[in-house]
Amino acid sequence: MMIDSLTLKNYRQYKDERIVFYSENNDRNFIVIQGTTGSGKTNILNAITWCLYGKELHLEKSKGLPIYNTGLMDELKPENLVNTEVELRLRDDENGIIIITRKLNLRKSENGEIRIVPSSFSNSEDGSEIMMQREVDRDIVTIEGPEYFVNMMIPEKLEEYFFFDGERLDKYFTKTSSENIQEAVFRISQLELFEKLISHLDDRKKDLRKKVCSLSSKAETVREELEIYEKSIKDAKEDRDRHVRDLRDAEAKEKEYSDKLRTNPNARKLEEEWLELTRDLDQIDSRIKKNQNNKFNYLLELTPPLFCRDAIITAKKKIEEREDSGQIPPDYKKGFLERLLEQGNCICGEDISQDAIDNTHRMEIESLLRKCDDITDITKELITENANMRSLLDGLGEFKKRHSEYINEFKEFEEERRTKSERLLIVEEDKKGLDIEQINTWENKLDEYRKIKENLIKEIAKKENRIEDADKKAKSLEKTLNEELKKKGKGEEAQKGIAFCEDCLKAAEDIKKGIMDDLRSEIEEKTRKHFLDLIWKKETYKDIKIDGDYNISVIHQSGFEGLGTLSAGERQVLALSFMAALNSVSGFNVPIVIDTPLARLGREPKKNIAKNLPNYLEGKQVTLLVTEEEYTSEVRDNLSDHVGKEYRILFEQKEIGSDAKVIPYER
Amino acid sequence: MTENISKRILDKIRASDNPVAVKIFLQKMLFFEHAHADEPRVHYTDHYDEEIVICMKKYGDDTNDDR
Repeated sequence: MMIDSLTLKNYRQYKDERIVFYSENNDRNFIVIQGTTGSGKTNILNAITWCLYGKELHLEKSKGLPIYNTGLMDELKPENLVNTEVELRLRDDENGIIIITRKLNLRKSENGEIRIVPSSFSNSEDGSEIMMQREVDRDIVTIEGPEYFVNMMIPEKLEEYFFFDGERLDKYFTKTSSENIQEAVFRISQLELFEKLISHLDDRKKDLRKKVCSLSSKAETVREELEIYEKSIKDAKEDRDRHVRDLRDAEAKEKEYSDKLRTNPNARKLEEEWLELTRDLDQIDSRIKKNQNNKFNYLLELTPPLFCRDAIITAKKKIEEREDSGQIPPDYKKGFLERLLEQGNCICGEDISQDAIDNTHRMEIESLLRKCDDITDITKELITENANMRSLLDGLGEFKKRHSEYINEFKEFEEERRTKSERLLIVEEDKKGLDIEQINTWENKLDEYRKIKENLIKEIAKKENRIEDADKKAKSLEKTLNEELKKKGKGEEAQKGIAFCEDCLKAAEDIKKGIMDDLRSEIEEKTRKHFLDLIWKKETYKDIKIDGDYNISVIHQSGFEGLGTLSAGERQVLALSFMAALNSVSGFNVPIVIDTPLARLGREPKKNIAKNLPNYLEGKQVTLLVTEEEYTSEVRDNLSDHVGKEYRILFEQKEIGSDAKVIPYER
Repeated sequence: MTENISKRILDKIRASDNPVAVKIFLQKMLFFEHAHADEPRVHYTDHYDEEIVICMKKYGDDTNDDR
């Protein structure tokens, strides 16, 4: 099937445009429509989905703007009726030309307000009406039930695999891809009919069981209990599957942050060392300050005696001479000697009382007491100062040693400071270019996802145990129930029906799984072939795998898994290859429209894709909606043999509204 | 459902190691589901019950030998 033409009347920036897609030359199935950002490329995609399903499924940039052309509506006189209309003509080998038209009735009120007049025949939310016709021998025949036929030709659920944009492709393998892939394989295999069959059959089985069990009260009790266990198994399985999906998400996130951190392996060490060095340097500074203070105080204390050293020595010498000559007596305290005499006891223990047998000792002390009278205040001061001067001179004797100690300590600190400062400079140089805050965030995220992962693993194990336990109990109850029913010998026909339903259910589940597995293998094979054909780094990758859990792996030549390290361009090639594989496996003969397919690619990948894209979408009509930056001379040259129609969008922003025209491409 | 996919499903059912009655039932029901795919509320109960009764008659005979 091919798009023959698309006519847009009063649709967004298009006032009245007809774009012919069909080319008589079968080898030229590519249509290129080039336009700047915002000129209306994506609205061509939207016009197609609106015409088919009554929904603009690729709306984002135009969100908020009305579906009609505001400029055209401004020119309309009040109370006049007008339509927004999109006509899609499709060419099919079997059915010839099929014309699908969707219209939205609009009225302009007196106050200039535009109001939608919903069609009575509309099945769409927006009130638009679809019509489908077929050209038969120059006659036009209307097809009843257009929605049904549209969905048969291009199911809405599968639309995104035929009409897609590069932005979406870029994100396809960045998120948890296994879920996307499983969903894609399930949708493309159109197995929802099998799901319905299984669900309906299960309902019938339960009803039959209910019918049989109503014949015996014990059986009914067992059946009720069995249903509770079956529900519990179903719920636990749903929880487990949800946890498994969350686990995949967490694993993908863990990998994402590990990969980010792997590029900065020493960041954490550097940060720790930087912190330690700055802390050490602060401490050294504080020790140096203390050393300097102590030294200063010491010098301050010692400077006066140092300057007076000679005078002190002379004074000391003179005092000592007086002492030697007996001019300065020893310093005994008068009061002390008087107290000794009064007490009659010497400090040596001798009896010095007046009644003592031997009074020699008492007489000596009395003699000392008499001498004390002769000690003047000056003498006392001289004796004290002599002791002080001795102490000062002793201190001066230690000056050299103490001073050296302060200086050596200072030198040690300075040396330590120099070494640490030099290292700090190196660390700071290494740290340049590292966003430590960002790295810390990544590390926290990594820890967070690791914890989530651990919890989920525990939760999954718990659910598995619960399922296993409930399954055993359910089987045992089923056995009891069957025995009970046999014993009663009632409802044999219904029992046979239950056994039949169970056999059918098992067969349906097995077949469904078998088809999913077959399709997965086929998609894997085709994706591998397309990817290895398309990728420009021929020597880098050797294989693509999609495992039983729908996890996709890109195998590097050296054997390791390279999905996480693919560049944006490589990811896009993988997604394009996967889309092409899905398309081919689905069996739908539907044209493909890709919006901005090359926007995120460099020169070489662009060229390579342009060269190879026609080969793996062989036989398909492909429309590329591209910007000027995408449609380079190289891309154009590589596609030229396959391009049947080539257009450019001329966009004009008016005072009210805008106008876009699709004109033949001329460079 | 495309011809490609429906053919795969039918081939898979036919090639499976299931009693003929089961295979017939699955094919009939798939056809039924396909025919009513676009109807939001399909009244399936009676149709399923009828087909279960019909296929069960054969089911008893071929469960063990005709696979």
